Amino acid sequence: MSLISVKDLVVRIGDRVIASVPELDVAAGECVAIVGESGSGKTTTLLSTLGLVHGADVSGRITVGDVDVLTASPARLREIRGSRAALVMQSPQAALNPTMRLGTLMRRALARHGVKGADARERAEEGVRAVLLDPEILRRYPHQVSGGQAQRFAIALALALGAQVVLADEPTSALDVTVQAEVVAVLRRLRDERGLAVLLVSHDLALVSTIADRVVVMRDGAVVESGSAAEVFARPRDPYTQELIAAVPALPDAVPALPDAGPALPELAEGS
Amino acid sequence: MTAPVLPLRRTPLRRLAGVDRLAVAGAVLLGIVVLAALLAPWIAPYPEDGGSATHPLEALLPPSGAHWFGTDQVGRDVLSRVLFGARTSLLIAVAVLAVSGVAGVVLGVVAGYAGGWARDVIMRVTDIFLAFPALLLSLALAVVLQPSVTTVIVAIAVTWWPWYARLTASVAASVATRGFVDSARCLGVPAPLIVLRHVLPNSLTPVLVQLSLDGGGVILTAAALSYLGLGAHEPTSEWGLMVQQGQSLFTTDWWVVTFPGLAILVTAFAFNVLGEGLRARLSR
Amino acid sequence: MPRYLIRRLGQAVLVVAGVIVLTFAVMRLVPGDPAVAYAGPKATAAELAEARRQFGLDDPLPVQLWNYVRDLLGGDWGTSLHTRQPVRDDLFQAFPASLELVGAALIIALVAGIPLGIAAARYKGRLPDLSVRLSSMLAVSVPVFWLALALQTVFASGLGWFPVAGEYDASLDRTSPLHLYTNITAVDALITGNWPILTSTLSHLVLPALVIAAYPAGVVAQMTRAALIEESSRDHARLERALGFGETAVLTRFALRPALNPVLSLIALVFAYSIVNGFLVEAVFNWPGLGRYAADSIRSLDTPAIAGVTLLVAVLYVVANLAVDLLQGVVDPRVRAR
Repeated sequence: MSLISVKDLVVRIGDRVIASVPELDVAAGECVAIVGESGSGKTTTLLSTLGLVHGADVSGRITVGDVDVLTASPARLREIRGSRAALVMQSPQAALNPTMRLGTLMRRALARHGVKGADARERAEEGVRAVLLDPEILRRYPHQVSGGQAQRFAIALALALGAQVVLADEPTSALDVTVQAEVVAVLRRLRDERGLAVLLVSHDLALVSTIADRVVVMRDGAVVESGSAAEVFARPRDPYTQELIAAVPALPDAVPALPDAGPALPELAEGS
Repeated sequence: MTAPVLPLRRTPLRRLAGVDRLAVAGAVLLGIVVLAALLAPWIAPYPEDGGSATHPLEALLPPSGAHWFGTDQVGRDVLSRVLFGARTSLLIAVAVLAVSGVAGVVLGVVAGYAGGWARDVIMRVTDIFLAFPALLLSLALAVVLQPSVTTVIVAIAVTWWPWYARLTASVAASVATRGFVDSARCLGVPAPLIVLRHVLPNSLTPVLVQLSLDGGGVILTAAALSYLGLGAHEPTSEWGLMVQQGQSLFTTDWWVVTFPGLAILVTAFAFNVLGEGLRARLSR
Repeated sequence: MPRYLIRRLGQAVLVVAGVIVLTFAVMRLVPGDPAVAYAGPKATAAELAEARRQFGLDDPLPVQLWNYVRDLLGGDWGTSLHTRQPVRDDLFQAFPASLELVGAALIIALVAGIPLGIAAARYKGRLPDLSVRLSSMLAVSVPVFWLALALQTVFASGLGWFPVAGEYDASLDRTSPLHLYTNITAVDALITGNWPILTSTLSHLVLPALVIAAYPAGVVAQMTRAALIEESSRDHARLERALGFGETAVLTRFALRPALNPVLSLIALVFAYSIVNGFLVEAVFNWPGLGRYAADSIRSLDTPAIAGVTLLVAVLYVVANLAVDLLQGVVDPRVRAR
């Protein structure tokens, strides 16, 4: 049973197709990565699953759980945003309102979805602990936390709201390498332990290889290749995918090891 | 950024057209005022009433077919005086914007391009001028000079130039650090030529938008100075002066004050609408 | 923050110094002889010389400037030619009334302008937006003295809904005298519980405050709209939408606070502008503030008084700017951290 299911998605601005995805499913406990260069339509695909693409025509069929995103009422859409699937954005601090303590944002988001009082406090602290942050962070403003902390807080928001899917839009590209590993480790642990589903958008193949179970490669708005991560990294069929993989300096050596090690791959970041 | 997800609610075309409509509406409105000013001697029903003519027997007639806007306390046709008043107001606006615009742009380009102590001195001086609300400094200046239209122009221009100096300085400073200016400098192109060819043209657009936005402010300030008796005086047709002369008659003879006031409002509004429209286009 | 604060203070002091020099320069432009203006046209040569000596007009300009600055700092702002009183005392009397009027106007402007700006941003490009934009452009285009006359004629002289002129009914001074603490009538009446004077003052305030509020209300509405639109296109607004908040909630509960920052800094500029606009309005409504004093001074070409008013308003403006910078620290935690 997939938590997110996309079928025959086409996003147009005027006559131009900016994203076209025939099929994409994300199941519980699974990480699906959409990779490609800027302008390939991967972020548009991600945002369309929550009906967050404005100023464009979206057609096809998108379901989140039992909700049909393209036909649902605006109120129903707002209900599932955050509570079913939650967004983690690229620039950690810019994604947080500068005038608001993290705890205030958390409290308002929980109240929005009907969780209030002691219950809300408990869920907030639980969410923050699950991403290995001190609940003290809830008293801070965005400029008082690091980029890695901000990203983990965004994941904590998703957990506190009870989201089963995290939509991560280049979650690590604005971070240092060690901090990147930290964020990926958290995502991977939540996937394995809690069955969290992750739809990841990234141009960073090295990162994708450490977490993705399945990979979708996009170029100029179209899907050029998709399959299990092991499959795609080991035997890329499409010339564009081959090019992408060849362009990553660390990968060529790592690739042969991939099929044996399985999708979860080296545990290099677990301890940090 | 991965995808061009535009934050538009409707089609971009419609929005562009909407903005254009605003600028066009302002331009049309302003065009009407300019035409009225240029053609005043020919379209005014009683051209001699724009000056010192008096008709005591026709004093304070209410609006009618013969006098659409009524007549004032000495029997002059208010419509004719409002039309001639457009000449005075636009003359002041054009003169102030030209003088302060040129002075501001020149000083701003020097400050922005040259940098160093020249920049520091010019910017500190503009800070001081900007500490006075424009009407206040104009008022103080107008008091010590003799009341006249020229006084109004000088008094307002003196308070207005620092805005353009500051705006131009910031644009010029950013232009001066761009590649093509650097390479021109390396090729040995003399500084005045670089300024003329590269820095000035790039600074002009924001200044022009600001000028059209400021037209309304100049019109209002000039009218206020004349209303206080510090600007134009009899028999010149000037809207602020007309309001001042008629203010005690407002309750009994409303038309003497209402129409010149509306003329100020419409003209300032036209400048503001045009400026807003242009600014919205520019910031796109 | 301390270093930032010291730099801002240094800048402010520099600007005030420049303001004093500029005011002095404007005063020396006077074509007439201030000694003649003071001593009167029938003064003898000896009286003239005495007046000239008294004003220090025989000294070279730098010395005069130095004396002027020394006197200002010592609290001597010169003597008004038309009231024959120290300018400082005149200003001290007139300023609270202006503050009362402009304060009321700014409150009206914020209360009206911010919600209008929110409505315009919420329905951007649609009818509410267009009507807010057009009416705010009208509000900043209206000549205040004319609007003052029009409202006075219609709502005071004509319909009789509000008093025509003055700050409060003067006969109340006998029946319920007011104890002065702040010299701001409405505030003093409120803290001493003097209801007759309070209600009288408030009804006298309505029309002139509305007239002065037109310009700031228009500017605040436009600025709020622009800042909200900008703020709601930022990344954090996208996250807030993705958390299930609708457009109205994103604007009012999230974008409004960071958007108020530029609106606040505008208020300092608008405050000084409104004081000067008040000059024209006070004259119409005979409000006993700086404006009426300035108008009287202009009529009698009273340069020391005009210089005093000019200096006071310019310094006020610098101080207001400084205050806003500090206030921004309260609204925006990022500024506090600098």
